[in-house]
Amino acid sequence: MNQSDRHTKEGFSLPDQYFEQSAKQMLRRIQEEGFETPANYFDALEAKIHQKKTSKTKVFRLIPIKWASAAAVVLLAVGSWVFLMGDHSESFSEENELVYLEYLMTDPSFITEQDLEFYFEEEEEMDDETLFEYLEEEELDWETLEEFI
Amino acid sequence: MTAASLNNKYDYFLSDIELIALITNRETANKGFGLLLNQYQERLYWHVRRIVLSHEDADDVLQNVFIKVFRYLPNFKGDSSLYTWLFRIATNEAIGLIKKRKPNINLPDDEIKEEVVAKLKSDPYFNGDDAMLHLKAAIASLPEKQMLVFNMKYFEGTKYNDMAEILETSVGALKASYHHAVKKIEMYIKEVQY
Repeated sequence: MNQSDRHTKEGFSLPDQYFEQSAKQMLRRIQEEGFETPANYFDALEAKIHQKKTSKTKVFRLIPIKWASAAAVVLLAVGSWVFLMGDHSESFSEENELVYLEYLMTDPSFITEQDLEFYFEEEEEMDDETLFEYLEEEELDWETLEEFI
Repeated sequence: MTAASLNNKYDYFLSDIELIALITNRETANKGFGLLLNQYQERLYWHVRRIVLSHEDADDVLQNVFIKVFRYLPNFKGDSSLYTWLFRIATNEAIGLIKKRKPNINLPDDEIKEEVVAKLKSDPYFNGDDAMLHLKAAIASLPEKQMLVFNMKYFEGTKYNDMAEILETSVGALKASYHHAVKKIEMYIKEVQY
């Protein structure tokens, strides 16, 4: 499907040059940020990744026992939680959770204390003044209010 | 960079289902993977670059992300969108890398900002002006979640709902994080100006 096909797909229409404009807007923003890449970086990336993924053989790594135990505990805890809390009348996203956990397990060095903190991080408390400013700027909704009350 | 490259990258958009079908079929896997790269590589690259700041790091992270995606895509069940899944992996990989780079996370904010300013000034792939330099330094000194939310909202224009799925948190918490981030950045920019 090319861009002109997309203009009429399912009866929807969109402003002329919409995708070109949005690409230009994205580009302008990036240029304002001052970030650059080497010339033709994106053109060469595909070949680089293809090469890397085909040359990568499966390597068995020694996992430090500390991380192996930590990962096992996390897996067990999450598994139990999923089992206990889940609605067993339908199969829900536990398979994806397991895929994600499997992904984490492939690189145990990835699971650090900070990672765990990140996932279970408490929101910073707001002082009253900041809270009022915040509520003035944002639309009030119960979900937001309940987090602070 | 790249001025012309963005325009050509979005000629083809395949649905999640189409991409997954191509990649999980042995005969079309490489073609499908190429299309997946074509469709997502730039958005993911800039998302990662804003977190890790240097091109070399962004390149490393992006390659790892796509290799992991290729390896795990056959198991992807589609409970979240491919976009969400890719951004989640990219975010985790990028955060993982900056943690490895910053063993001392208790560094005072001022030192983090000075470090970032020095790093960007010496980076051949950064040409931002002073204002952008200080903005990047202020962003880098934010707590992780605030940094992610600020980048995604301010630079990438990501909707709170999409962000909530990627970062697995509530819209309310994200709005609060963004608000905190803006206040801290404003305060730092004022300090730098006066």
